[in-house]
Amino acid sequence: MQIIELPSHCDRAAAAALHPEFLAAAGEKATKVDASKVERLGFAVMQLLVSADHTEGGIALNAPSEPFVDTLRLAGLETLLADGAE
Amino acid sequence: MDANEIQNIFFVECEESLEAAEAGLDVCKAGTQDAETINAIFRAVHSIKGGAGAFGYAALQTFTHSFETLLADVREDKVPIEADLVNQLLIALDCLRDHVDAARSATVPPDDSAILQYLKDAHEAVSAAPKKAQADTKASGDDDIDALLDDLLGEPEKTKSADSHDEPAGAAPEWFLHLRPHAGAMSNGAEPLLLLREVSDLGGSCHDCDLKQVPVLDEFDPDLGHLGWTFRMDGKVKHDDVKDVFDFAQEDYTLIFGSSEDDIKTKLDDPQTASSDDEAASEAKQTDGDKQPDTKAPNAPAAAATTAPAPTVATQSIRIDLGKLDKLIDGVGELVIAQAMLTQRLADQDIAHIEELSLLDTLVRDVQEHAMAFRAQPIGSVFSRVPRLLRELSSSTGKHVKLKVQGESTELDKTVIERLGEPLTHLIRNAVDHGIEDAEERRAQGKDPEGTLTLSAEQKAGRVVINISDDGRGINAEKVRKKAIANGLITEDAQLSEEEINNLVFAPGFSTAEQVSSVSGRGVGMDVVRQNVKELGGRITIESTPGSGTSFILALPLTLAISDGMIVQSGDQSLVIPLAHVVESLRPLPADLKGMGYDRQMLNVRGHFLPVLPLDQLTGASTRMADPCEGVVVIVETERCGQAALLVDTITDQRQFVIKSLDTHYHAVDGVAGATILGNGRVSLIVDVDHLVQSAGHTGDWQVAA
Repeated sequence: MQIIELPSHCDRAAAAALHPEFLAAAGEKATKVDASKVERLGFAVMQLLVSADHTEGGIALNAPSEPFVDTLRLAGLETLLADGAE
Repeated sequence: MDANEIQNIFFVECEESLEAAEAGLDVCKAGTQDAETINAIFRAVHSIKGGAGAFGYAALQTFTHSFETLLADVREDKVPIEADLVNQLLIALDCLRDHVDAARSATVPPDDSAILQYLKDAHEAVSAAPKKAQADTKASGDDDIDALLDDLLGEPEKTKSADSHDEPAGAAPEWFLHLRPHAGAMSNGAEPLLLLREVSDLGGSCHDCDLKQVPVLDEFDPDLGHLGWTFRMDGKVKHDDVKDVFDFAQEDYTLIFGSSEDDIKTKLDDPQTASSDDEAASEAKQTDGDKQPDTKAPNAPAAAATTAPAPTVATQSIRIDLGKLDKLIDGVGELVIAQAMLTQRLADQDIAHIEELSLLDTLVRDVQEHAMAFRAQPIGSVFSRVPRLLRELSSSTGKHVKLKVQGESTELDKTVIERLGEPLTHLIRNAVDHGIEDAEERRAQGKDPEGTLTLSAEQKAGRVVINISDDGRGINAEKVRKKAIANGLITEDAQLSEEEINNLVFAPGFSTAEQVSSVSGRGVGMDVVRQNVKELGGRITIESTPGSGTSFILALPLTLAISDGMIVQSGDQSLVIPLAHVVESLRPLPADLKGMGYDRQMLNVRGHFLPVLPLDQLTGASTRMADPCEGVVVIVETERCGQAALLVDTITDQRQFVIKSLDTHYHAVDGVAGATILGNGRVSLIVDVDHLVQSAGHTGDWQVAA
């Protein structure tokens, strides 16, 4: 199954580029997301991840980087990490 | 508008903020500050920090954060405003300017370790004392710098936030903040999570993330704000601190302050609870129960009002791209020419005096004045850079120099303002390095050991005259003369007036400094200064009194585009005399004309004798007037040589003219200030009255002098 790899800088442009990918990947199974290379997670991609998580199948985060986890904690979204634990 | 344009605006605003902060610190230095002064400095630094955060300039943000922290202490009266503190804050401001420059040019940020340490130490010194008094409240405020650095290094902030959240609330109860970014919060590269991080750093921790409004992927729009947060805030954190975080982006966020989670929910459910109303309401609530030391502090009585004026100012001005403005001004220039042509055409038909034409004339003039006013800026923006220069010179030369500034509100064209910085810097460096003596020498001469540099600007005869004076040793004419002879600039037997000797310092390669210093003395400065001033259509002159100082006087045009002029005929040429110079015109009577010397004439104007300068000598007109009484004299006023009588054949018109630079279209010609297009479509030269009269006065023949 395809894994969506998040870029190092997850800014608004990245969100716009990733949105169709997530749409295409959405299905019964959780969409796998590789967050290992993320150095900076921005608001737009954060929303996109939440939206993808709300969509059927949800998401499963793989090997999230430390800055990525830190930012999710800052925003009180640790639940996304829990969802991803396979 | 793309991200680059927004960044450019940020840097323009940085300049404004730096100037505001510098002005505020100058007031502090003079000891006449009030609470609003400190607030203004704080706001200036804070707004730079906000932008730095949004655009990801980490070094700039870290520095402004420390700077702002200490300023907050000053605002809260925890730190007394003393001379040493103000000096350090000025150094910090200089460093901040370097940071901004580094961010703008994407170069390495300056070494700020020493001043950063000072800011940190000063803040810690004051925060330690009150912390002891409040025995059990934790010293989390002074962790801000570390926290921020940790943040920048990617260290999780959570521990600290959690600590502050878990600690006993002490005197102040914790409170809640609900924030929700709107679509605009992400526009132009802004990043809401950076502000979230700042809220967390202040002492907030995420209590709840509201996901309810996040749609499924099919309906997801990455350009809209879907997430919202409720933060639990430490009781020590003030509402104002949070508002400060959002102050330059407040319209892009919903901010709701509440005493409890329920309170927030109630307010969220109430559609009337607009952000600002709520702030006001909760502000009152907050002041009831908690300590809020800053708003009540004597140093900052105006603190509560500080946020109010900002939006008002924002609505009163707009930023316009300079290129667009220049197109407008060019258009107005062409309009003036077209109107002149129309007038000419109607005059040819003998209907020049119709009412519509005079109405058009008035309208064109109004439009032109308003258009010019767009470009006018107070010269204070150039003068405001001088204190820093003096501080730097003070540290490199050891000479302490007081600065006196007059007429900083004098306005002149933006282009002139922009290009004035370099010559002014050269002149000031020279004044401090060569002009002003060191403290001991000054004392020996009975002078104040601190030198004084005076900058003044005023409008005079249609020009802006800028005077840069020092109270130093003055120009040593003998030394200059010897040096000029040694450099082969003049011969040993040359007979020069004092003024001519002084002017030698503008010669290329001239320097009398005994040692080449890092500040000046390479003999390139003054040459460049004169060139710069000339390129601006201005002139520079020197007045120097040995032992008591030197003045450099710059006379610059108000605008580089349109002016009023008198159109005169001299031989076969139409020339324009700028109206700013014209005092009167008259037809000379034979009895008023007196011969002088070989071929010069003086005109008696009501008891005053003025030199008669036939303009046709300039044009080299073949049809020279035999008798001056057949022509008309135009009495002109000059800056340096008093009045003179320009002899012309006739005066043909008086009107506005559009200045076309000879430099751009041809090359600079002495005695000619530029060219213009007349109503009949012909090109006419604009006379540089000052230059003509001055050179004629010195040599008796301006053509030779030119």
